[in-house]
Amino acid sequence: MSVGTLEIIKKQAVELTLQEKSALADFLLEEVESERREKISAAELKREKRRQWINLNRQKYGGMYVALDGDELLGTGANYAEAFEAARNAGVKDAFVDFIAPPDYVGEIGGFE
Amino acid sequence: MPLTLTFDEFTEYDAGLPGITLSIKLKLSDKTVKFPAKIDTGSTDCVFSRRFAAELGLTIEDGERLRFETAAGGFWAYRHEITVSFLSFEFDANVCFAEDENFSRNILGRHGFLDRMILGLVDYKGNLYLAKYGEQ
Repeated sequence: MSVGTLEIIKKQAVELTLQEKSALADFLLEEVESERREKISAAELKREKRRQWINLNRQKYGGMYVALDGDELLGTGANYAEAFEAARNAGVKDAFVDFIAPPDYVGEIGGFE
Repeated sequence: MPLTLTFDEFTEYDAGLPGITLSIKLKLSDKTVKFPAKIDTGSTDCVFSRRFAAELGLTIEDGERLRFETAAGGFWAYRHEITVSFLSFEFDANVCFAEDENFSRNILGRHGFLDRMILGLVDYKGNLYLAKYGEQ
């Protein structure tokens, strides 16, 4: 929507009665909340697809970095940068890039005495 | 020959306190938790207190169970994908939550943090410069 259209709607809204303004406010709040929920649901769905992919492919890609778009593998790398570039070369800007812990992974934490 | 790195963010930490502290947010769905975490180059992973997983609504045991070794022994943690946010940076990453409720440290280690960040440190001033790989 253009800024001009928004300004027209705002000017029209000023003319409404108090009751109409209240109804409009409720409508807009519902719209915002619904859109926010849809966005979260889409992100959660993608996250769940990634989780399933990682669980299925841990043995094969364990110890590597992967770039994923949902459950689609875009590329792999020995480090974050390599996997990130694979995603960029595939034309996906918001790919998930992360390290896959192999099944026998043991991490280390420094600084404990 | 001088070398140059460029950064997108600058923050200050209290150099008089132990460690290099960064205020971070973890997000999942519509829940957010905010707390200070220590940057730890000696840690393979990001590991946080279990209570933050609970506050995000995670069932901690649903994550991938991983073993961690320290100089003083070991512990178990569960890996979950969440959104990590600090300063103007925000990304999804797999991070760990300690199984033990008494684990009170919050660590930003290699996987999920250091592996994608470019850091510049002037410790005597408490100055930290940051950029994220691919966003410069």
